[in-house]
Amino acid sequence: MSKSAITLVAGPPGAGKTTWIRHHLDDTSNPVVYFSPGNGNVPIDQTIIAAEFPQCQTLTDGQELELAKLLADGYSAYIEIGFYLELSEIDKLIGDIPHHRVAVVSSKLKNTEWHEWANEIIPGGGAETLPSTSQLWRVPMTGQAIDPDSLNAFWYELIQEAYGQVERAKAILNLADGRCIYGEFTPGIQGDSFIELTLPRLLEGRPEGFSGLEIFGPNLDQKSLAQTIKDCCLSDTELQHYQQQMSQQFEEI
Amino acid sequence: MKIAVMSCIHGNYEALDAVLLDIDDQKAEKIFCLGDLVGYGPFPHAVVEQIRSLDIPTCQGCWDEDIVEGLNACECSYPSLLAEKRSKLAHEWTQQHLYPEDREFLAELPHTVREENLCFVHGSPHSNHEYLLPELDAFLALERVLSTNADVLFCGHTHVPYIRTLDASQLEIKVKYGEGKKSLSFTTPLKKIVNVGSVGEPRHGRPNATYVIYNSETEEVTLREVEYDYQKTCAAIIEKGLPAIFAWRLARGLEYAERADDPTHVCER
Repeated sequence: MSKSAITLVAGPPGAGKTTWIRHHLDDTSNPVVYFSPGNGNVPIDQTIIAAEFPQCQTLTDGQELELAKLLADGYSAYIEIGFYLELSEIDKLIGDIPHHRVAVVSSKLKNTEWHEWANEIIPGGGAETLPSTSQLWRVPMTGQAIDPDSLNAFWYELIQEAYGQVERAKAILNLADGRCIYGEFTPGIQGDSFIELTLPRLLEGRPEGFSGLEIFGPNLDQKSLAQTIKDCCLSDTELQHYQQQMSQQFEEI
Repeated sequence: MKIAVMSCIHGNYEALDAVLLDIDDQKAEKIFCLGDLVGYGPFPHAVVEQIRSLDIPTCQGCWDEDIVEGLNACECSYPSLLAEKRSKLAHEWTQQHLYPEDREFLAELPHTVREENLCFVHGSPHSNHEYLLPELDAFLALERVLSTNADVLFCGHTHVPYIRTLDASQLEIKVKYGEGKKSLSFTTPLKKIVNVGSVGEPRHGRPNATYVIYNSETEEVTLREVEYDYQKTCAAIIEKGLPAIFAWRLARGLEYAERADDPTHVCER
C-alpha cells in the first residue's frame, strides 16, 4: 500500500467534495473504493458514484472491515468526510494509517478548521459562511415512486425556501415513470435540474433501488417537508395505474 | 357605461375588499363576477356573504360547483398529484366553513351571465373547468366566442389576465351529404376574449389582486392591479389551519395551475 492510497476529502456543504472525487475516479483505471461514513440509510453519494463508475467499489456504514481488506488488496480509497462529522473524530479513527487530506473549500472562506486540517486545499463553491446551527434532515425513500410533476413543484418550493432556508439539498429519487434521477442544490450554484442515472428503467412494481433525500439548513419546517414529500409519492393503486398507462404507450410505439 | 369584471376570489376577503374600493374609485357603474368565490382562502363565508349582499351578478366557478356537487374533475384540474392532494384538503376545509345558505347561493349561480353584447363565464362557455389560455388555437378560441353570440367574452379561471382580439375572421365550413356538397362561409366582426385574472389567488408572479374595467362605449379594456395587505390573508391561512404552503404561494403570486399551461388541452369533464 503506497503512502497516498487513502485520500480523505472534507469540506463544507456544497463545496464540491463528491464532484472532486468524481473527477479523480474519471481519471483512474486502478482498483479504487469510495466510502462515505455516517451516511447511514441515506447513501446518496455512494449511489450516484456506483451508478456513474461501475468499476469503483462503494461502501456504506458498517463495511469498515471490507474497506480494510480492499486496502490490503492494493485498492486506493477516497473517503468523503461529510461536513456534519467532527474532523477530530475522523483523526482518531484513522490513527496512524498513512493518508492524504484534501479539503474542498470556497475561496471566500479563510482560516477554517478545514484549512488547518488539510494537506491540500482545493478551491470549491458552496457556503461562503460557516454552517453553524443548521440541521441535517434525511429521509430514506427506498420503495417510493414519485410523481414527476409533484417533484417539480416541491423542488421549486424547496429551493425558493418555502420550508425554510436551504444551504444544501441532495436527492436520488425513483420516478413513477421508472427513471431514477439525481438532483442537488447549493444556493447560487445549482438546483434547477435533475439528471437521469443510467440505471435500468423500472416499469413494474415498486422500485427497489436506493432513493432518499437530504436537506441541510437552519430552522427547516420538517413537518411540512415530510407531509409534502409524502404527498408527492404514489400509492400502490396510483403506481399500478401509471405503469399500465406507460406499458400501453410503449406498446403503441 | 363603465363596468368592472372580477373573478377567482377564493375566500380572500382582504383582496375582495381592496378591489371593491378600487372599483368605487374607478366609478364603475356595475360589477360582474366570474365565480370561484371559495377554495384555498381562509374566508369563504365572508366572501359569499359580501357578493350576495352587494347583489353582484355572478357566474358559477369550478370551485363553487365542486363545493356543491362534489369533486368530479378532469385531469386538467390538477397539475400534479401534490396539487391534487392539497386542493382536496382545501376542499374539505372549505366544506366545513360554509353555511347552508352559502351553499344554496353557490348552487344557484348560473353558468353564464349575459349583458347586451357581453358574455360572462368562469372558464369557457363549454365548461367552468376549461381553461381559455392566451395561446389557445385561434379557431377554437373563435368558436368559444361565437357559441355565445356575444362580441366580448369575459372569463377567468387561469388566474393570469390577458386580452385577446380575434380580428375579423372568416370561417368556411364544407358539408358533404350524399352526392351533394354544401359550402357555408361566415364572416365575423371583431371579437374579444378578456381574461380578468384573479382577485384572491393571482398567478402572475405578484400577490396583487387583478380585475378589469370595461367601457362599453369606447370598448376600452383596462386591467387593474390592486395592492392589498396580503400578509393578513397569509396569516389567516396559517391561523385557520389551511396548509401553510398556500400562504407561501399566495405571497409570491403562484397559484397552482401548471397543467393549465397546455393550450392544446380541452377539458373532458
